[in-house]
Amino acid sequence: MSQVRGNFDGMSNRPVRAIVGVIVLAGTGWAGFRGVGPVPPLGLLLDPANGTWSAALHARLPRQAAARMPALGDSVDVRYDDRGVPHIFAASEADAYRALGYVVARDRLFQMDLMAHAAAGRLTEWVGPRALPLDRQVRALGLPRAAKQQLAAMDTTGMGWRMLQAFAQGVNAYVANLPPARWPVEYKLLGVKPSRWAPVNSLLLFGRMAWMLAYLPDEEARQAARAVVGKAAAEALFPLDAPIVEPIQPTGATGPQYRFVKLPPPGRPDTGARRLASLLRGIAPPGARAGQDPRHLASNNWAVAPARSATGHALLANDPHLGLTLPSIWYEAQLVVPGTLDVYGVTIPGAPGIVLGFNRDVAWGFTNTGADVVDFYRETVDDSTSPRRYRLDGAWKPLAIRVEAYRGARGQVLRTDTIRYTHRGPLMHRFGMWVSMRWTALEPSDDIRAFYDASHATSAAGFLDAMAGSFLVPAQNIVAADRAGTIAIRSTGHFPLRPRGTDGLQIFDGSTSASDWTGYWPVARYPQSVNPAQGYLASANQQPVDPRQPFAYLGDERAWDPWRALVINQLLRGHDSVTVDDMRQFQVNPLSVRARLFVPHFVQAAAAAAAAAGGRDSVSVRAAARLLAHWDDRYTRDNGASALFELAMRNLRDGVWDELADSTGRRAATPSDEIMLGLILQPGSPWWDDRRTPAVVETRDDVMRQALVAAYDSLQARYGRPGAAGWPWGAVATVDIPHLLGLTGFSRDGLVTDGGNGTLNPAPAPGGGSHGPSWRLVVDLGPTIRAWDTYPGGQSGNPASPRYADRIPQWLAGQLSPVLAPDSLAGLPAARVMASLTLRPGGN
Amino acid sequence: MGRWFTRMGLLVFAFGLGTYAFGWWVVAAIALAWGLVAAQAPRTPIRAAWAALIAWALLLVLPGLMRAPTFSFATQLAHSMAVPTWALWFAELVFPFVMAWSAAAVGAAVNGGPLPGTSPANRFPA
Repeated sequence: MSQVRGNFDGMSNRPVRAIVGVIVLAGTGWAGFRGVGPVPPLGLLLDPANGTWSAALHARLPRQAAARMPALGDSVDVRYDDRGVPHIFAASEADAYRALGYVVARDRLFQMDLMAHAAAGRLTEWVGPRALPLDRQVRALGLPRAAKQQLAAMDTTGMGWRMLQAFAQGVNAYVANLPPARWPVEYKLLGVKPSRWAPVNSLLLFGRMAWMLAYLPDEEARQAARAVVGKAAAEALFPLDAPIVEPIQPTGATGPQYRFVKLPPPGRPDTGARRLASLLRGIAPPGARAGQDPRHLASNNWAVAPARSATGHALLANDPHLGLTLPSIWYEAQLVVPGTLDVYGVTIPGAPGIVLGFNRDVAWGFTNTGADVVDFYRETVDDSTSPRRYRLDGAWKPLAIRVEAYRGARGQVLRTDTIRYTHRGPLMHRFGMWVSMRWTALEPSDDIRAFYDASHATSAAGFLDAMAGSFLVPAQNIVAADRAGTIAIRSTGHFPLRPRGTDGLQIFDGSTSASDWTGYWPVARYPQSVNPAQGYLASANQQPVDPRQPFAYLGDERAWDPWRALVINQLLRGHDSVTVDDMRQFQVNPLSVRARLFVPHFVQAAAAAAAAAGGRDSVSVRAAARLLAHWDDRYTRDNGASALFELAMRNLRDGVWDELADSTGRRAATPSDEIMLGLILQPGSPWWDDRRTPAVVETRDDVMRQALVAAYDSLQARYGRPGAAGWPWGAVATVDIPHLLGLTGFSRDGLVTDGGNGTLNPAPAPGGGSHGPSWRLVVDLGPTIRAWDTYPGGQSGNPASPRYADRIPQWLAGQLSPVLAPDSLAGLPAARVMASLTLRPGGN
Repeated sequence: MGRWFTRMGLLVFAFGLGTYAFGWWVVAAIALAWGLVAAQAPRTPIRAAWAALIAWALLLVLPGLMRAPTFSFATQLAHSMAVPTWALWFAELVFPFVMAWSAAAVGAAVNGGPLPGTSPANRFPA
């Protein structure tokens, strides 16, 4: 070996040696600076001091740190507690928001930068042409343009504007003094560098959140079904009103109302409906387009009045269900400005303020309302290929035209798109027609101002009014409770007033302004309730108002199944002395009302099959029925029947809704399990017959038995013979929490938890998934507010940090941590301070 | 021998400090300079290569010994890049080795490195 090395080392021909050296050096230099193929630049990747490894070198916050910030008015003290939560003590609110920008960037810089790029349709600048479809969709919807217009329209003397600016100053003060060695690891893996934070980025993030939460698939599903089975059947399969009703606005009823209707048989296809379905599909966010059900983005919140709480104070709980990621969606922080501001909770990294949480007087939580806030208009244009004008009320109006350029990593233009706008919104060319879109997410709003005002509220009513004043989209069911004992809820957002006699379920005639929205609902009409006689308020995305009450079209009221609402109402009704720990346990309650309603029918179908076969039915059907019959309907991680039930339900949907297959053979839309439950009560319905077996007319019991047996057999084939109690749920259905870039080493996959489809603690179906409660909060609004919380991740965005995913075990176990929320620096126990940061005015 | 160790130690120190202060590319610059200066010495390129490798290994291992989660992070990083952890460590060490060897070889060639058959006695003292 040494001889070989020696010969090579002392290469006889000097020019050859030089040439080989130059070639190898050039190769390593190229690989170091530019990377090779999919491999990122090796220099920053492998540099042990300044490359990716520096993530490990800087995994922990220094015990003490100081920095200067030019815009700061006075010094700001930041203390990180033993959960990694920064407590910001500032002399002015502007300084508090500057410090918030600084500390969020310190922990989550890459996440906020990535989200801003995604929301601006600029991902190609980081990852090249593969992001073009995402970027083009974002820009075609007009989200970046709307954010810029919103910024331009803001009152530059108002607090919303000042918060945006202050937050950006804080972020940029951090970025400006960040040496490359300290760049988050993801920048080095992508070969890009941190961007300066523009105030518009915060608005872009709100726009993106609105997009994710304001899109619901049911309107599209109804139209897709209509294209296959006709109007009457589609409207029955996808009704506007929920068949099982226990609304957010209490009715005085002591239980849910079941109002099933007879399903008409499949009718003639309505091919025209396909256009609207396609238009709606075009605005679906990436997750929904990839086949994920946006209804997983749901949430729970509830409040208990002092009369029903064990502490004698109002209690509040909230757990927003979102797609889970690492770093986490939320970042926890406290902002204290003596005599002015004292707010604790979670913020979206990049948003200047606390989004969910509490102050000294009020606590609040959100769930998604799911209102229909988008409409389409067929426009008449002057040129069918490259229009410049559109017809309105007999006159030609100019289109606003904007050329969108998508740039690559080196600034080169990859593509350009021409986006046209009518006064309603962006114009799209579909099915040979030009269609414009109006959407509340593109309308002027001042969400930042709403959160600012709300954080200063001193009562639940004041909080709701502050939100109603400026928070427009996505509509949220906002529950609030205060120290005076008031509990209140209101579905808040802009709900369009449409022309009389119309709803949002059609393509409007764009040639007349008579088709336009005439305004928005007045706040007095919003679904709401204050201190109801029942002593609690709860929302789980269910229908806000009982449809029997006079009520205008709000949107698709049955977008979400009612199961979680039924469970939380049942639990709260059943407890007249609710403790803080009850609230925690409710959040992770694994009971499935859905299973409780369906399981007897499966068992009965199996028994009917056994009776018909004279006891000679299959082993599988008897074993499956036995498992379900002994199940307690709880999705605990070790229960053995929920996997069987979930697969049986999946098979049942496949067996029943065969009539909804389109010309490609794919099911155009899938009705909810509520509709399935109603159908089970109609055993003679033609929907039970499987059209794929023309020689046989299947009965309800046939289909249910087959679904159950197929589920049993497939589980046995996949997981082997069941134990005495079946197949453990935790082995079949797990939660994955992927890294934002999908990097497996930075993700946490295969996590086992309680909960499932339709339980208060939702978890993915068999096969896994990545949605669930993104934060859990319980607040006791006594003389001194106490709170407990957790979320599936950690405060740090650095994968090497011990705080990157440290809360996941607690989240999986359904436990919460007491929150430390001192009202002054002196009130912070020194033993719980893990790190400090002092920000001083000055510097560059 | 002591002199050899001293020179090697200084070279390792130079690679380590240079990388820490300026970045990975300094390895090539130092190795090039070393190749120019020590062109007449035996095994100049390979010595530079080993020194760079040792310097980077120390830069990684020393923080790990001081509680930086270097080793657990290596597993995460390798997993994220869909390579075995050993492959990441291998690349981590081979990269400075090859870079330093090639740069030193170029430097030595430019300054007229030793020809085959040159008496060791005439070479740059080890």
